Formats: sequence, structure tokens, C-alpha cells
Amino acid sequence: MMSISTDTTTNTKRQDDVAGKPLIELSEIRFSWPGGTLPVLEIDHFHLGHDESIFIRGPSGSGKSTLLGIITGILLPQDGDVVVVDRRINDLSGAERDRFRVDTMGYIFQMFNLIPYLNIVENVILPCQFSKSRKAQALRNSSTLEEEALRLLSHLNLGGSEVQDKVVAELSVGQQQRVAAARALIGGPRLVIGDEPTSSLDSEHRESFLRLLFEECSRMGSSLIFVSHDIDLAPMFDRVVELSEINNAPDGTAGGKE
Amino acid sequence: MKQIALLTLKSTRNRKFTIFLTVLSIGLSVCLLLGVERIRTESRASFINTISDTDLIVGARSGPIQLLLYSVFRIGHATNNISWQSYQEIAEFPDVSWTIPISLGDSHKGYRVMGTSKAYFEHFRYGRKQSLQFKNGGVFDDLYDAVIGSEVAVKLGYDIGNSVVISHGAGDVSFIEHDDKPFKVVGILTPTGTPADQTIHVSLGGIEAIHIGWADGSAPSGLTISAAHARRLNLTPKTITAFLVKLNSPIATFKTQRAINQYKAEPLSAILPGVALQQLWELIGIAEKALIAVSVFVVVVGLFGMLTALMTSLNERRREMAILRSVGARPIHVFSLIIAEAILVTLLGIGVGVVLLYGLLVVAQPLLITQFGLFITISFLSLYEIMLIGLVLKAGVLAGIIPGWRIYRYSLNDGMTIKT
Repeated sequence: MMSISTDTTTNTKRQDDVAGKPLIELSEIRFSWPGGTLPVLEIDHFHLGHDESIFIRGPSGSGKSTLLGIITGILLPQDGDVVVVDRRINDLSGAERDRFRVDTMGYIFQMFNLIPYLNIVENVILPCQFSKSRKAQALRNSSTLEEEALRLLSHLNLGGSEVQDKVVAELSVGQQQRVAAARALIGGPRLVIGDEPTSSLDSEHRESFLRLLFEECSRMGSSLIFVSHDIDLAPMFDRVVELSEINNAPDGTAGGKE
Repeated sequence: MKQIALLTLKSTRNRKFTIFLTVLSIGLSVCLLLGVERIRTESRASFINTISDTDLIVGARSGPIQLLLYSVFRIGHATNNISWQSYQEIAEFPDVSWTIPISLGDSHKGYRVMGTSKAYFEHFRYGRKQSLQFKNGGVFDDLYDAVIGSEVAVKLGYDIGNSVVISHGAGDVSFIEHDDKPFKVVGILTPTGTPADQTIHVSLGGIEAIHIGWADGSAPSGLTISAAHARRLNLTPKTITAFLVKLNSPIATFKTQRAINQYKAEPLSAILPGVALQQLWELIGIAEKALIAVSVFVVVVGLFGMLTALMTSLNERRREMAILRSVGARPIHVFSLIIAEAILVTLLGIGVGVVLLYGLLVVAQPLLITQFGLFITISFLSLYEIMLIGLVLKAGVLAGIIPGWRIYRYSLNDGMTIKT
């Protein structure tokens, strides 16, 4: 088992650079798909504070993926400002946005999060292969990346070689989601985004997964954006946003390309 | 880029069976391409060197290729013979170092019989100025002695002491046999990869002896002369088919050639064997080009196999690409992942191909010598072959660009949404 003694060092509440500004701020956003005439997303204002956990609810096709695409810098809105950690994403080049994304964000997909040809630890440390800052942060917590991965895995109840030595395909869905959570958390990104990460879990695993995720996010000092249509989980979050209420786009339910 | 290389290695290891098949198909095609190229250059070299160290070939007036075909390759017939007297006179030219007379026209079980002198075994050179070597026995001495080429010995199962009955004419099946004057095998040559392997060599006197009393290609009617009796007759030939000339200095070549071509006593042709061989090779070289074209197509097919494998893997790998994008991989990384796989697979294929080639060469070398008289040197890859390999690699990278570009577009459009 990994030593727990290093845990306190990771619990760095980044008070120094909060300075009252939110972690993410979207203003006057308007996005439409290339060739599409009507915007699919029109948001006057959206923000996320430091160490805040937010639940974004919306039926499928309500523009959730588009919103996440804009926050992560995959998509650029035609109008409006996207400011993440004091940087205006609109101004960054594609390569800069790619680097910025991995430096500041961890991402958990709905399912099949893992790369089949890498082992569990390799999957967890993947962001550190592309981000120097996350690698450096991970190495502040543990002496090697592997050790840090194992530490996170054991926090997410995936300790012990009987789980860690398994091939990715042998893991249960719940275990896969927790490995994905470890990957999203490694190197302490400012933001963890879960794109319906609990949809493939049954109800009892949902809550325990979420509880572990909360625990690790607060330990790492990461904010959490959680997108789901499952309102049962909403009470666990600091704030709940109904996407249909902030999205003014007339085509907001068309869901763009999907 | 290091992480991309590592990811490529792990990803290909994960799909090792399909990758192995792709590598094998590229390997086989590369082996075929290099093998065909090897055999082409070697057979060309062997062909061009069918005769070496000979400055001129002289025969009755005809085109150079025809003269070359019948005198060196023993294909077809001479339009005319040349007189013994002309031969003697030219052999006495001051510039002439040595001559080898050739008398053709008879055969044994489909193999040509060539009458010549002992000078043939002393002076004849082929390949890289190699001389004829005896596997068994030695030069003919007696009137009815014969020296056989290696193929004749192997195919007909002849050994020293065997008796050979020469048939009149050069056809595969002859009904007129010189069975009253059988020859005895006294020497067997080592394989040369030249027509000497398929030739039965006897003395000019022997050729003369079996034709005593023959007129205009028909058997003597009435009295025949026994083999023993023939020995006592004057067996100086009246005509021969052609002769090879070596000059004291190559500078004299054109002068001598002109002198022979303008020879007063009878119409003669003197040709430069190297030039004529080159012309003949260009004539039959179309086959080699076809062979190369086919093997190039086989390589293209092999690379198409890789392209297909890459393209079909793209859809299942779109998810993998989305995951990589979420952990910071850029579209160019995703592109490189595919290109790196194409390069890796092509390189492995080339490696397998080269190893297979040398394996096959080691196995085939003795077979090619004994079966076809083709000697293949097992040498390092030639510059041309390395260039061919470079082309295959380039084509492999090119084949990788197509799926690479496709996944690049996917990953730009999909971003991190997983589409399946």
C-alpha cells in the first residue's frame, strides 16, 4: 500500500491566485456549427469558482457536449470570451489550446476511458507524458510517476496488485471509471470534467464513485464540472445549473452534429 | 515525440497478430522484389560474360546476332561454313595471339556436339575470365574422345568411360546415327552457366572422321569406312563453322575486324562479342522488365494490404484518439501515431524481406548452379537494391499518410467527443 503521509502536501488550496476571480468565465458566447445557420449555444454568462463543484444538467442534445467543447478549447465560439485560469482561450493557437487543456484539465468520459494497449498505471500517467506541469506536480507528491499513479489508485479503492496487474479489458466498468478518475486527477489539474461519467454505473456505484471523486478533487484542489442528466446526484454538488436555462440558443435542443 | 514512439510500439504489440501478417506480406513482397532484381542482374552478368577474353568471333558473312547465336549459344545454324584455309591464314595474322576453331552441326540426344581444338580448353574464358575446369578426367586426346559439359553429364547420367553415339544434324530427334564410330567420355567439365554445360566437345578430327564419305548431309551409300580405318586417313577438316580470336593487343581489334570483313578469298564476318551480347540482351531483356514490373506490383499490393489494415483500424481507434486528445495529444501527435506505425511496419517488412532473401539465396545458390548453371554471388545489398528498399520505405510512408491524414481530420472534428 502507498504511504498516506504525503497527502497533506497535495491539499494545496490555491488561495494565492484566487483573488476573487472565477476559474472559468464565459461571457456572451455564441456558437454555431460550420455551415449551420442557427447557433446551438448562446450563453450570456457562466462561471465556475475555484474549488467549486458544479452539476450541469441537461437532456442529451441540449448542447452539453458543445459547452464542454468550448470550455476545453476544442471548439471556438464565433462570439464571446472564454476565460479559463485568467487566459482567454480564444486567443490561443490550436497547439497552445491543446497544451493548455492538458495542463489545466482532467477529463473523464462516459465509458471506455482507457487505452487498451496500455496497462492501468500507464493509462493513469498518460497526461504527464504530454504535460510538463502535471508531471512536475505529480513528482512533487511522489518520487516517481508510477508511485503517484498507484497512490491515486489506492485512494480510489483500486489498491493492491490483484487489481493493478490486470489488463484494462479485465476491469469492471466501475473500476475503469475510477482508473479514468485517477488519470484525470494526476498532476492536480485545476479542473476535472466528467462527461456523464456515472451513466454506465449502477445506482449504488454512482454515489460511491462520486464520493471518491469529490474527496480526491478537494484533496488535489481541483474544481469539478459534472455533466449528467441524472438529477438524483445533484444535491451532492455546490451548485446545479440547468443548461436549458442558461442556453438562449433557439436551436439549443438540436444538439449540433450529433 | 518519444511518447508517440512508445505508444506506437505498445499499440502495435497489442495487435501483434494482424501486424505480423501485414509485416509478413510486405516482407514477402520485398523479398520477391529483391530476389527478382538479384537474379536479373546475376543472369545478365552471367549472360554478358558467356564469353570473355575473346576479341573477335569470325564466321561466314551474316548479322552479328546470328553469328553470336550459333557460335556461342549453339542456337540455330550457320548460313555457311568457312574454309580451313581462310582460318589458317587469319590465324597467322601477326596481331593474332590465339584462335579457337568451332565446328558444329551434329548432336547427341539434343545436346550439340562441337568440334574444336585443344586450344579451347587452354584459352576459352567465361565470366570473370574463368577458364574451363575439369570435374573429372581431362582434355580429349584420342580421335574418338569426348569431353562433356556438366549438364550433359548430370542429365544423361554419363561418367568417364561412357560411350557416346553422335547423331547427324542438330535436331532433338535424329534418325541418322554415326553409330559406327562411337566416342568415349574422357572428361567432364564443372558447371559454368554457359552453353559449354550443354555441349559435347570432340576434336575437329573426330568430326571429320564420322563424316568420311558423307556428301551434302546424306549418309554414304555403299562402302563405309570403319572407325579403325578412318584413323589412317588425312583428317584435316576442309571447313569449320566459326572461330574465336584473341589479339595480342586490343588496340588491333578494329583493324583486324576490318581486315576480316574485307577478306578477299570468301565473305566473312568478324564481330565483337561484348557488343553483340549486349544487343542480344536488349532483345531478350523485355522479359526481365516484365519480371521487375510484376514484382513492383507485388510490393504495391503488399503496401495496399498495410493501407487497408490501417484504414480499417481507424474506426475502432477513433475512441483511442479522443482519449489521447483529452490527455493533451495534439492532432499532429495522432497523425504521427499512424505514420509511425506505417514506418514501423514497413521497416519490419523490409527487414523480414532481406532476411528471407539471404535465407533463400543460401538455399538456392547450389540449386541454381546445378539446375540452371546460374552462379549467384551472395554479396551485400547493392546500391541499386538499397535504393529499391528506400523506395519501398517511401511508398510505405506515403501509404501511411492517407490514414494519418484521415485520423488527423477526425481528431480535429471529433475533438474529444467519442464517435463510434
